[in-house]
Amino acid sequence: MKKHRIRGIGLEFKKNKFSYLFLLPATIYTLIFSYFTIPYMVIAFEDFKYNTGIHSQWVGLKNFSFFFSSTKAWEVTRNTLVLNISYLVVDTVIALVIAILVNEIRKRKFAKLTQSAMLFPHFLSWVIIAYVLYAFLSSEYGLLNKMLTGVGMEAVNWYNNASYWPVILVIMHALKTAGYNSIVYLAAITGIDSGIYEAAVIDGASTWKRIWYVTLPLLMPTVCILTLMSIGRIFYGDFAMYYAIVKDNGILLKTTDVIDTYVFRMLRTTGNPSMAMAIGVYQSVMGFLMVFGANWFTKKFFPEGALF
Amino acid sequence: MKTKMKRLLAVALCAAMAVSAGACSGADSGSSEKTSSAGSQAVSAAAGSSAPQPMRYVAPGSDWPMQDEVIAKVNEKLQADGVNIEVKLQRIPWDAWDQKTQLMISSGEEFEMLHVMQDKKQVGILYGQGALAPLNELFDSGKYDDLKSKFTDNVWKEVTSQGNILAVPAMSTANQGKSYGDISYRKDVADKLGLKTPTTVDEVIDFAKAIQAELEKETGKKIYAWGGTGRPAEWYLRSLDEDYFYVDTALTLVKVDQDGTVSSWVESEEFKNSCKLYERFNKEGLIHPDSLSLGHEYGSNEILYGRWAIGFDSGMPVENEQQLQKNVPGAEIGVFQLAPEKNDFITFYTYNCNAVPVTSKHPEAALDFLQWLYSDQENHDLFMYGIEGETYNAVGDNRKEKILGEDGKALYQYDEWQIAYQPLRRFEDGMSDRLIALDSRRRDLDEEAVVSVATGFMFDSTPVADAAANLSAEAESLLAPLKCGLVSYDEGFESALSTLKAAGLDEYLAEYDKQFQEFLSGQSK
Repeated sequence: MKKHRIRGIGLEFKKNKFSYLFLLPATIYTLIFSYFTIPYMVIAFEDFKYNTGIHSQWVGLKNFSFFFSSTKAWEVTRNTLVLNISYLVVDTVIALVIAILVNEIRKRKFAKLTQSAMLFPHFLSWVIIAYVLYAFLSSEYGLLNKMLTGVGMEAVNWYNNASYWPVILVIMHALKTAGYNSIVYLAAITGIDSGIYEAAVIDGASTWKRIWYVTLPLLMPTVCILTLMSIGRIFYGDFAMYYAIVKDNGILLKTTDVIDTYVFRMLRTTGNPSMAMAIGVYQSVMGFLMVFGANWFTKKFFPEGALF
Repeated sequence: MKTKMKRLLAVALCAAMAVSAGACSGADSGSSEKTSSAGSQAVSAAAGSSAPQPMRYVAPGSDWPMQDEVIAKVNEKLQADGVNIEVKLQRIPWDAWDQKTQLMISSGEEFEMLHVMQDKKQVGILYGQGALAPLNELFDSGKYDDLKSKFTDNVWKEVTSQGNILAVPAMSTANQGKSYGDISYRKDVADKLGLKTPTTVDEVIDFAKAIQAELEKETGKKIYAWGGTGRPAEWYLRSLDEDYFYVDTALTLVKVDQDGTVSSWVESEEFKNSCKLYERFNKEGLIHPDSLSLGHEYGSNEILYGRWAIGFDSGMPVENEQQLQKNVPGAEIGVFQLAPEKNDFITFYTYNCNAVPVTSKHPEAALDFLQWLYSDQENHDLFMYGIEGETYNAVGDNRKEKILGEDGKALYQYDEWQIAYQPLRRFEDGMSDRLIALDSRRRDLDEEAVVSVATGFMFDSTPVADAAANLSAEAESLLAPLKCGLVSYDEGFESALSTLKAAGLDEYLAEYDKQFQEFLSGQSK
């Protein structure tokens, strides 16, 4: 039995050797940077010394206490979850809408132009986006304030009021990522059997009904899988985004401080590698549990969308 | 045939992807190898019987186009001078600096010299984490007396922890650490308006507003005051009658009086008055409303384009005048202080230094190199500025002109702040005599200035690691809005203080006081 299985695997490799060859660089990269570094996680439980490396003195959970004893642990965890869940929901909805709309465009040139325009922000760095945002929200010369004062309203000091920022960040995140995410959904839509659409048209279904009763249900497994994969990183913040847009602005941190930015500030003077690793372990373990939980939930209510 | 061709193409593509993935992780080592081979060739021609000891210098930054040629010449000169070492530079990009150096030391990678930025991590902490080798034995041998004599005892204290000499200071300038309380301004604009140099805080505000109005008229853009909020407002503290005091550089939470008293800086009257003063600046329209999100770079850039009403402390280093004049022809920088009759105050000498990692089997190589470098103008010029006529031209005794490549960047110019020796430094040609005179004035300040009792003290936050981490996350973000006057002291202080207390401020202060009193009693022995 075992011999057969091994031979089966061998045949599979032989049959698709060029496909596996293409996979090789990504596999090597993942092995080196994701798996071979796992033993290094032990320093989260050690008093790390440079000269003893991963063989430093074992201190148990001591390195975790600095974060959990902090007054802000709950606040930054809440911010991380609220912002990431908001990104997930808003990005997914907008990406789905873009994919469906682009799919419905009959003029192919216009469809391609629209798709490229939506994709473009993905290739801009957060630093560039931060400058664009500043040009829009700046207190003195910002476009938005010019528009507000132009219609007789008062200018708003956006960078000195924390309450606006969860919404601003969600919009900016969607602007950057939704176009890119829509490609996956567009690919899934093009994979839907055209016979189903033809049958729906014969049955008299309108465009809206075809979207609602055919496209969306058939896209749900893809939506579930992508969502489950995103949930794995729900305890991580997009550090580049926060540091480009919010920076160290203490006034805004109440609503924008996430685990990554908080821990960065905590450790930038002491630079303790064990403490930094402890937080990394916490985020990874929580992400792992969240993926398992969400997958269990999906399996129970929508088995086609489950990852494993 | 067609299929075969496709297969070949696929294999070639995969190989290219794999090679580029490998190249990404090893880009730096590749460049250093290149350097070393060039160095080896040069040395092998001149070296004597024994192979030279490598002196691998790990420092942050990127390579220069003519680095290989310059380092080969450095190695030739070292051999000719009988110093049997071979310099190899390993420049690590800034974004990978912490992780890569940490990995190099913890994985036992051998190299001889490491650049340390004490404003990021003090040598005492690195020593406690097992990263650095003490240099006492080497200095006690007497072989490096010449190197030791290059710096005063006070400067050596900056790199000494619990009696262990942990690095060699990098004194590229005497400007660092002296609390001048400098106030900079557009001298050309002030002269045009016939403004008198201010002598009080009220006059400073009027002076700044006059320059602001004039520049707004000229540029059509509103300009502001910059600088002086990252650290205590020394320009203002200098004008007070109170005795000198030091505020810790790590978190700006601890105040140390000259009699050795340790107290909370944020709870002091001086802190309160500084915040209220900046509130006044804000009400007068002198603080940029978005300054907390704009960051230090924005302010520096505004200054380089001549758009500043007034600059405090490090807000306008005078060395930038040349760059300013390129952007705004005719612009001049003026500098003044409140209470100019008072002595200056030295709180530290240098943040930068070069240390020997524990992984080095030949710690003497680093000291051999530094002793050679600081011993002679020719050696210093060669390593710092490169080959005369190719990467720079010497102008007179203490000036130079960089030779630029086609891209407008220097072909070679080692970062002076990392290793240059101030008395051997060359100023950029074109810097005005006025500015050179100002810098020379600063060189002689040591004798006149008051030295803080905290100079040379290194606080080890390990016993209060949790409080230090919590305060590190809170202090800057809570205090910056108060310090720059964007949040009113009366409205924001109480909640900021209670957050700092909850984060462990009292525990941190108590530990700081304990260690500082031990340091003082050690000093008096």
